Amino acid sequence: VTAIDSTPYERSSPGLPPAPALAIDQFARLVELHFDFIWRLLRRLGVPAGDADDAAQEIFLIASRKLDAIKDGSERSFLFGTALRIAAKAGEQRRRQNALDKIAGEEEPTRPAAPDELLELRRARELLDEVLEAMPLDLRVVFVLFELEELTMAEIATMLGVPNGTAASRLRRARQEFETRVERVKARSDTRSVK
Amino acid sequence: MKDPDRLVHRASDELVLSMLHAARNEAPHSAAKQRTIMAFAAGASVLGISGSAAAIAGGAGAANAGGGAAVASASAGVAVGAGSATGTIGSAVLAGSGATSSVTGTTALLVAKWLSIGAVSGVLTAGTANELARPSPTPVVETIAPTSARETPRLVGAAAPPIAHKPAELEARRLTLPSEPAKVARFESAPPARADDSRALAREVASIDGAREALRTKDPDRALAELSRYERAFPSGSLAPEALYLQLEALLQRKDRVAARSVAEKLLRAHPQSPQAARARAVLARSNP
Repeated sequence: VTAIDSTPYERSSPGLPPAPALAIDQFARLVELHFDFIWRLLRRLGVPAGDADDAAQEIFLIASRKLDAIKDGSERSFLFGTALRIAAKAGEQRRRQNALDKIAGEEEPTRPAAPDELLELRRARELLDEVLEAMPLDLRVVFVLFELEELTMAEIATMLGVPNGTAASRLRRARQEFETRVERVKARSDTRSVK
Repeated sequence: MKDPDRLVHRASDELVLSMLHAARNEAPHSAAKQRTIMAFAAGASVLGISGSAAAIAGGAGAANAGGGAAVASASAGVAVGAGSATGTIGSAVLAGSGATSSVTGTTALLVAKWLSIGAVSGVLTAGTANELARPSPTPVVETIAPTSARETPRLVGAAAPPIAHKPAELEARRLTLPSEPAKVARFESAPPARADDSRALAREVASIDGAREALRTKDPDRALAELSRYERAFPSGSLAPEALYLQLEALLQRKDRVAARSVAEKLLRAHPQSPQAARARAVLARSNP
């Protein structure tokens, strides 16, 4: 996870100097090109849908302050690294909040009813996220980038700053982990259906 | 070295396939992108960080009448128009002659990004029109037709043919003005856009974002205080439905169900067609004896 740790990152705050001038058209293009990718990445890293918009926005605003320091063609890598950090931070906050909620006995927020098809989609995503969350982060990231975002192994290796062989090895292990976790989910649901 | 086949192409397990497809098909709402661009634009405007170039202006449409706004700067401008529940939006951006963006200098293509806020949805919604225009000696005005036929803003001083627009669909078109680059393109049906409008809109967004942030950190009191300030500062704010929705959530978070019910009713009365109304209905249904 070295590449993740070394990614330049600075949280936006009013105390920082104003963003470097960046034309709106450039920023809009950046958003058009990478927003979906970053948003989905956040989701697969455990950021709830309700928070993913704001988290993605923060990432792009951070990038807008740094773009002059980012090499051409490395924008996605920068956004990716920032997304990992934001997702990790959000995860910590969420875990703390969940623990507090449990202590306080807070009820789960209700979600509006959805048609069956949507419920199935939602359920499938929840299962996937459960499986992914149980995987080590370095494996999860490679799995998401390759299997869901369809990046090539070479792109993934570059993005993570690791040799191609390392990326390939992580993918192999990620797939094994994934299959094992899916089997557990299936076994659990089989047990429930027997009961 | 050849990449291995992806699971989604070779897996036969139904559960695995459904999980992979569900994740691959998930995408953010387009409004999220618009809001991000607008947050950047508003920041640029408020902070003045892009100098004279990224001049941003917004025009809020009056209630029940589609608002239109247009702005032009010496180099580039983005107009943000806010409509109302029944009205819709007309916005225009005018890129001045021989314009250069402060950052892109003389090089770039100008991508004008249209942002509009529909009070119907309470969030940033709808139409964008991307237009690529190289700096040219002739100013280019681009307009987005309103979604409603009720009001069709016309450019003053421009022999513009009627805009053939489809209901509920934003269309972009461009007009070429024969005259000098205008400082401000004006719609007859709306007051001229002013920098004040853009600042007000940016403040609205910031205020709402502040309340949302407070809610996310489970601080309903701070959220309610922020929303109260919003209400005082923007009695006819463009983001009123969103403000009411956040107020409702804050009260629920504070477990003040009586007040929450009252706000839900107010939200339903004022914005029955908004997406937030569904939440209000759900709250009312749950609190019914």
